[in-house]
Amino acid sequence: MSNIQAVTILLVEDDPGHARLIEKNLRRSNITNEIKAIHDGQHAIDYLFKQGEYVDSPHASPLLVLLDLNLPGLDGYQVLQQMKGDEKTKRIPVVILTTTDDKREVARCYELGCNVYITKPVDYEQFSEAIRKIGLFLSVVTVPNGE
Amino acid sequence: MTNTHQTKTQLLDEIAKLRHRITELEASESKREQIEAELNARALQQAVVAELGLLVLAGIDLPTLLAEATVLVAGALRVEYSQVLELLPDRDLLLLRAGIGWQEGLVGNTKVDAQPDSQLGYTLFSSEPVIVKDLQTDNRFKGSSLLHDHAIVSGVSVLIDGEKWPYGVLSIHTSQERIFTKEDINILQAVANVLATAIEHKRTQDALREAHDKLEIRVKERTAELETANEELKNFAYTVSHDLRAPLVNIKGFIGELRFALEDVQSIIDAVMSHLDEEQQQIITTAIQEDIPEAMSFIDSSVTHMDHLVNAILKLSRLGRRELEPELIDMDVVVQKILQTLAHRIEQSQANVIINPLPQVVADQTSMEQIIANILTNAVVYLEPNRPGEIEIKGEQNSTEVIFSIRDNGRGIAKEDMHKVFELFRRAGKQDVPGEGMGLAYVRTLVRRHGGRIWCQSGLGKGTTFTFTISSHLNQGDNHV
Repeated sequence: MSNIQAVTILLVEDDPGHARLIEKNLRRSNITNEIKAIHDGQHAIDYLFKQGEYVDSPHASPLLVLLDLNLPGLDGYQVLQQMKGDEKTKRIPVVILTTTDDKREVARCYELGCNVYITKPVDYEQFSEAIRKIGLFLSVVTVPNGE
Repeated sequence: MTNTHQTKTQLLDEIAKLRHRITELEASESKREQIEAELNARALQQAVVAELGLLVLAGIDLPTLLAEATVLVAGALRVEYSQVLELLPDRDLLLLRAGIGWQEGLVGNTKVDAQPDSQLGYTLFSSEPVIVKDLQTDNRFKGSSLLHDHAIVSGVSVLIDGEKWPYGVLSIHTSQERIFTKEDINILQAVANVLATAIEHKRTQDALREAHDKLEIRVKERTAELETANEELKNFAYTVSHDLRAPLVNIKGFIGELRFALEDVQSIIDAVMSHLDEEQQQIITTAIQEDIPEAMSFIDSSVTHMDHLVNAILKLSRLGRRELEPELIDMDVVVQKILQTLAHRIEQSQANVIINPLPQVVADQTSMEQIIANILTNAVVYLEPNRPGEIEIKGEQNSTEVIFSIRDNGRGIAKEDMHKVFELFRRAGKQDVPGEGMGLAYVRTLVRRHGGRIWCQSGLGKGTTFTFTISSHLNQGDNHV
C-alpha cells in the first residue's frame, strides 16, 4: 500500500481558470499532494507514457488523474480510452471532472473505465463542495503503485 | 295468224320483261356482293384495329406494338412488305423501326431520307394516303433505295401523326402490281391512327413518369437537407450550451474567490482604519462595503441568470434528442395524474375541471405528461381570481390525428402578445407568476416530435384554449430519435 502523501495528482484541464479553482479548493481541503497541471490530451498521454517532451522526466508515482472531457486535440475520452486500454496505465484511478452532465456521456465514460464521474457545478458553493469531496476521497483512497 | 302474231308479240314482251328482271337481279346481286365486300372489309378493319387496341390496353412496350402492327396490316391486307418508320429528332431522316418482309438486319438500322423526293418522305408532307401503282413510273418522287432494292412496285403509305410533328410513316408494299381498294387504304389509315394515339399516350406517360421521378428525387434531396440542418441545429444548441457553461464556472468561481479575498482584506482594513484620515476612511468604506459587493452581486446574479438560460437551452436540445418510446396511452389516466399534482392549486382557486372522455393515443408517455402538465398548470395559475374558474379538457380522434384541447376562462392573452406564446424565454401579460418562459416552447417541441401541431385561441379577460394534435401514424415500439 502506498503512502497517500506520495500520490501525484495529474490535473488534465484546458481551462486555466478551472485548473486554478480546482487547485485552490483541493488545497483548502488540506490536500498537500503534488498537483501536475497539463492543458491538453496529447501532453497528458505523453506524460503518462513518458514520451515526447516527458521522455527523460521520470514522474512521481503513483498517480491519480483528474480528467476534463472537452480538451483541444485529443479529447478526454481518447485519453481515458488509451489509459484504460494499456497494461501500464490501466490501473491508474481516473476521476472525470467536466461541465457535461449528459447521461450518455456519463455512461460512455464508465464504459471506457473511468472510476468516478463528477460534473462541475456552475454554482461556486456546489463547485467547492464537489472538489472538497474529491479531496476527501483522495485522502482515503488507496492507489496502486505505477511501477 | 293474228293469234300467232299476238302470241309472238306477247312472248317477246315476256322475254323482254324477263331479261329486264334478270338484269335487275344481276344488278342487285352485284350490289349485294359489293355490300358484302364492304362489310367484310369493314369487319377486317375493325378486327385489326380492335386487336391493336387490345395490345395498347395491355400496355405492351412501343417496339412490340409497332412490330405487331406491321404483322397485322401485312396479314390483313395480304402484302409482302409492311413497315413503320420513325421521323428522327432532327427531322431529316426516317428510321425503319419495325416491319416484315425486309432483308435481314435492316429493321432497327436502316435510315431513309425524309425529303419529299421519295415516297416515304413525300408521305410526311401529304395529308392524304399516298397510293403508288408503279413506283417506276410514278413521277411524284424518285423512290428510296430501300424500296428499289426490294424491287417494290405498288404500295400505300400513310402518316402517323404526332402532337408537334409527325411520328413517322406506316406503309405497305408489294413486288407485283396491285390496285389497292378504298377499304385497304382505310384499314391502313385506321392502324396508323391507333399507333399515333398509342405513341402520343406513351410519350405523355413517359413525360409524367419522368416528372414524377424528378419530383421524388427533389423531395428526397430536400428531406435529406432538412434532416441535416435539423441535426446540425440540435448539435449546435447542445454544444453551445455545454461550451457556455465552462466560462460561467470561471466567473462564478472567481467571484467566490474575490469574496474570500475581500473578507480577508476587510478584517485587516478594520484594524488599520484608525490610521487613516476621514476622507480615506470614507472612500475605503464605500468601496469595500458598497461598491465592490454591489458589483460582485450584479455579476453573480447575472451569471446565475445566464446559467438558467443555458440550462433551459440544454434541456430543450436534450428534448429534441431524447428517443421517444411510443406506447398506447390512456389519456384519461395521464390527465388525472397531472390534476392530482395540481389538486392544491385547483382547490385554492375553486376551479371546476370538466374532463370529457378522452381517446387513447400511441405516443411517448413522458412527453404526453409534460405537454398536459404544462398546459394545465398554465390554465390553473392564470385563472382570474375574481370569478369561478372553469377548465375543460376535450379530445377526439379523426383518421389522421388525435386532437386535444384544454380551455380555461382565465385572464387570457392579449392579441399583440399571441406571437410570443410558444417562443423561448418570452412571457406575456402581467409578470406575477414565476416562470422561465420555457414551458410552451418545450410543449411545442414535444408536439412537433409527435408529428403534431399546437395552437391557441385567446381573448384577454375571457380565457384561452390550447389545441394540439398527435399524429396517428406513430407505432408502438417504434423508436423515434
